[in-house]
Amino acid sequence: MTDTNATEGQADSSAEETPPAGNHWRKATLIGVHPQSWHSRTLVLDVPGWAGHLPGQHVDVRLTAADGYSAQRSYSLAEPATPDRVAVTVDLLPHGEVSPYLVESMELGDELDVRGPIGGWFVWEPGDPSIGDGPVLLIAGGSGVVPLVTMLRARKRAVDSTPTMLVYSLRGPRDLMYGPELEEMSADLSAPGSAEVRLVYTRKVPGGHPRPASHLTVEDIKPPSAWPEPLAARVYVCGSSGFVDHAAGLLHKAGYPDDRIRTERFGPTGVDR
Amino acid sequence: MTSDLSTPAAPDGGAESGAVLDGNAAAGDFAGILASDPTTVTVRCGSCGSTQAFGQLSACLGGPGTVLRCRQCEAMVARVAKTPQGTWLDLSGSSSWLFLPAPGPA
Repeated sequence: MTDTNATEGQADSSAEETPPAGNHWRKATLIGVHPQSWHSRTLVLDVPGWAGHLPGQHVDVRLTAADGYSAQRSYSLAEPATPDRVAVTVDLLPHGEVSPYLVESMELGDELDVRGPIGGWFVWEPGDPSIGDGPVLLIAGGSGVVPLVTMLRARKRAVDSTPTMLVYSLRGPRDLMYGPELEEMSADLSAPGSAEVRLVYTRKVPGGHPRPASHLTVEDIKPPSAWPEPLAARVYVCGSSGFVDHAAGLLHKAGYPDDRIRTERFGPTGVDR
Repeated sequence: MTSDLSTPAAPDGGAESGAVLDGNAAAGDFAGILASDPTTVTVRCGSCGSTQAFGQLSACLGGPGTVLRCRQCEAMVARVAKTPQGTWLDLSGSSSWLFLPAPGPA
């Protein structure tokens, strides 16, 4: 990492000229790590001056090597807004260039640069008047669950009672992210901040799970019977490009209008500079 | 959302995934040029005339520049490229960009 603390500090102190959000690299220091599955972990970063964000927004992360080579990636914000704090949950891509460092090597006190928050399209804030009291359907493929769990956490924090369901497609039990949290959130559906959670295993099913392994089906995204107007739901889909196309096809088949569906795709998109 | 260049397939989701994502993934680069969040902008395709949110356009990243295509007709609607001379922004494939007032921080 380059040592540019002095100049960065000076730039930050000129509070009069706040550059547009998203266009400003800030120094971030790793202050916490939480394992999420066997191949992913949450990194909590101290980012002085971070003013906050909306659930669903993402950050660009930049690593710079001693020789000046740098690599940049995008990660969804993994926690609702907290001043001076950014959390991302990173899934290990074994032959990746950045994720092995973030998941396996980066240590407390190490630094990187973050830019953001980015994006106002794939967001849901509890109480958002454009959604009103209508239900919210969240559909995740793999690590696409990260921004959707951030939405659920924000909803819980706000004690929001918008009817909400998460449908989470994953390969097998050891790929499950946020397992204990999702279990707790869905244990008692009458509790404030609770949400219905459906786990859709595509390859390996844990013992006792009623659904056999298969890709996401129309049946999996069928809304709970308690929802008065399911097709009026706002739908968020996040996953790989292939998963998003598949889920959007099922939603169209089920009759959801296009303008209720918001999607975000991830994949091998690194930009090296 | 996770992105990492050197991996041939997405971490999960079943179907194969290429490097074609959506405008959300290109937002960081465009936010550096535009004065406001690009993802909520309604973009009209110059070829077929359909409108879609910037966040829903197809995006090709990782090349020398970022290319955004219409999800209806696949025509190129916008691209941005960083070069030693400066940053090129080409919007010739789009006929209009509608910026809505943004309610929250973005």
